[in-house]
Amino acid sequence: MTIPGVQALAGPDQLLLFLAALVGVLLLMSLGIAVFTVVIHMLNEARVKRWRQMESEWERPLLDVIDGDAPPSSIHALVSPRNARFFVGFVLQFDRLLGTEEHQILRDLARPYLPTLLPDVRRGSPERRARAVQTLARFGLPEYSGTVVQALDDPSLFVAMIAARGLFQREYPEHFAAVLSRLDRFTTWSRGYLVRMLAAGGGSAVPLLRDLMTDGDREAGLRAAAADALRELNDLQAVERAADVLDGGLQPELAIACLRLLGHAGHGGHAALVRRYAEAHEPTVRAAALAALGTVGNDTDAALLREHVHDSSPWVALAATRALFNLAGPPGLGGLSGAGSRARTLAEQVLAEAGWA
Amino acid sequence: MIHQLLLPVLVGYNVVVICYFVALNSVYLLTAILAFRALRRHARRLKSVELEHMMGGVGGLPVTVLAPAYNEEATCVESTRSLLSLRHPSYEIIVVNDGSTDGTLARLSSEFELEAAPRAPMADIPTSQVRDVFRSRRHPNLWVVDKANGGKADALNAGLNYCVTPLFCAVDADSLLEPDALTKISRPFLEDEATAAVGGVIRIVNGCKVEAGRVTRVGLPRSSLARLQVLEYLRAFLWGRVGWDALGATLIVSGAFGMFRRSVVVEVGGYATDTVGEDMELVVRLHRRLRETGRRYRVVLVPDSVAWTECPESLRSLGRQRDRWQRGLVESLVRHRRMLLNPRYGRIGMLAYAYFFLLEMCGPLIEGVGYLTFTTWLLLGAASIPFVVAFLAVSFAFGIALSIATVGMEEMVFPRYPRLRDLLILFWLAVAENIGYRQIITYWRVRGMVSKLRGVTGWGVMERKGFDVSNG
Repeated sequence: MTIPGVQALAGPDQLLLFLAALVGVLLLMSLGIAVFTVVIHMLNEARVKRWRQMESEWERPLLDVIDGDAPPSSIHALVSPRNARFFVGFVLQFDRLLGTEEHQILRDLARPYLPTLLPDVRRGSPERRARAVQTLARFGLPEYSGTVVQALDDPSLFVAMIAARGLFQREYPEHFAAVLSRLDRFTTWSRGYLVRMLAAGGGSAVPLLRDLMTDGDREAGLRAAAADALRELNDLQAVERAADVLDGGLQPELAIACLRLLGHAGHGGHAALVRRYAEAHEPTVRAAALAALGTVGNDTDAALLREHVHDSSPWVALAATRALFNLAGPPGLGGLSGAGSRARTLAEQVLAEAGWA
Repeated sequence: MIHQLLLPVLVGYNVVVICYFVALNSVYLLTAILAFRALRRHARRLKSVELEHMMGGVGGLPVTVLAPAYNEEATCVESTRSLLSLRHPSYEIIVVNDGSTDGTLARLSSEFELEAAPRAPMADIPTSQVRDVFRSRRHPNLWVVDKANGGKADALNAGLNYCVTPLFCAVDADSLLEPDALTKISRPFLEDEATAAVGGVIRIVNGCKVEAGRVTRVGLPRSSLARLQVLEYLRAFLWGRVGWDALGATLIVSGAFGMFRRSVVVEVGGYATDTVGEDMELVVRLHRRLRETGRRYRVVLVPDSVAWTECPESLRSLGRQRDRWQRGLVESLVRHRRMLLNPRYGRIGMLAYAYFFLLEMCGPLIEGVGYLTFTTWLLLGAASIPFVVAFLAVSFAFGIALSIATVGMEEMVFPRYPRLRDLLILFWLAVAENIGYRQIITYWRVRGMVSKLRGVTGWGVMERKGFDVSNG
């Protein structure tokens, strides 16, 4: 007698044999994986021990070199060729912790070993390529700039972004155009990330960023990122160009970025333009316009701002309350103490933010 | 006579059980293979680029951590300290005291010097009444919202109303996040603006040493029940969820640790308050709404972003937890049943939803009844003992192989257990869990389905032991 459901599928003996074999295979496989895991565990332990040992051997001499108490050759003598990559990684860790002054010393320490990374840029997984590109960008510019620029066209977006980040630094303005021309690859990336990356270019990047902001052929999100970067760089001259852009009627994200720029460094002459956006259908645009009015507006805008303290969007209401405070100080919020509970809370919140509560 | 009547039923059911067994294990095998590949790739990526360097230099994405707390007197201070010690460039913490009846608010207040502070809500998701909003004098990024009791989802919604950052991270009040957890879990949002939700990995803190809100020594718990859950969590996260993520079909983001785009969650109305599975329900609803509106979006998992959480150490607590999880699963899946095998919802409807509906939701019932029919078959003397033994042996051997492979994967990719002894214990548990533990879990899941049918609601009580806090 057998289980009929099983019997229906195959002959009893063959099936039993098959199941027994399957159990055997699975158990053997389990045993194999268990042994393999134990070996991996022991190898991991050995590797960690070896790394710790090397780190402890290098740490003191490295600090001596940084302090100027020993020449770079003193540590180079301790690095065997097979540990070159690990040494570069070790130096990179210090580079993240220390300042600009020490960066030059660390660069010099890592430089002799950088050629070992070159093959990684062209082959291997995207992760390996990214690691090599990041290290070359950190320690190998301008010598390896050609390699890093090539990585901007890497099939992996991740590698390309690492290259872009490495090149868009205030020290290397000659590479800005190359990065900006490929920026369309990164439209899916976080806007905030792009803005900070562009702002890292510093003053030398400003003319190119202005061009990007006003270039009607480029994607609106990228133009907005350029506008936000210009605001972070405190570029006063970009304000007029932002006003021109804003005058043309725009997609919300670009309008918001331009309004922010005007709110940051605009003047009374921009108030009329900003007011046009204060009644926009999109709450985020409305909020940006009202926030800007807090800087470029005048007493006549107070009524408009008060009206928007009761806006259906809480974000607009908060922006209007903050703008009222910016425009008229604490007395500007005086009338709100008796208003509805949300307006009152907003007024108290804005006062607390400004340290008045 | 009875024998003749039962025969066709048992024959039919045997086929159902075998089909279920083959389908379930095929999915397990497939997800395990995919998870292995995905984890290796992720580990390589981790080694390749220092994430904090990549993000820190340009400023991380601002995040609000939402931590609902209900009667968490034993763990709330340690958990909040853990949240305050996270390494992330810009974040705010909102602890929502959901009408606790113990000293949760008082402990938070004295420990973090809370004072009432004005703050207007930025969304209007309906919640129970908010009584007050406090801010810490010692930590300006720590806020506490005190509200009337309304349940976990209601508390999360209240926190969400006060959230002003583009992203929020929902955690359990007893979760301990690793210092770089926020930075790691926010990476997909950095790389793709279309990311709507990201899940992290949950590990069990029982048996670990906690100092100043951080897990400083990883170890296995002393309790066998807790140890079995360690293995279960490893399996669930390292190959279950990672495997589904590799298929682009993440349907669950754990309520204990998950990050979301605030605007999208507010747009879909926040967490559902009429289910005990609010975490899964939200993710299923996000998939549904975003697919229906034709928007490009991503829901993904980051396997090295870790939160540690306390697991139940008594059978009664564990039973209640599993009963609740099953009810939550049933509620979410039944509510959105139109997604089942519906091509409109892509691989979510055709693969993930179908798997969870047919195998995870109905599975315990099929399995439970299977145990009964096997027993009946044996009692009737109609079964071939060698076949029954062989079938059970295959089932157990497969389970053992997958569990051991999970421990192997863990050691290869994210090794956490420093002692070889712990690994050997986990191997032993991979064998031992098949005798008793799996069956009792199946029983609780069946009980959860029955509870759902009986209209049982609510969370039940979870006893907290508190963390193993070192004096050192």
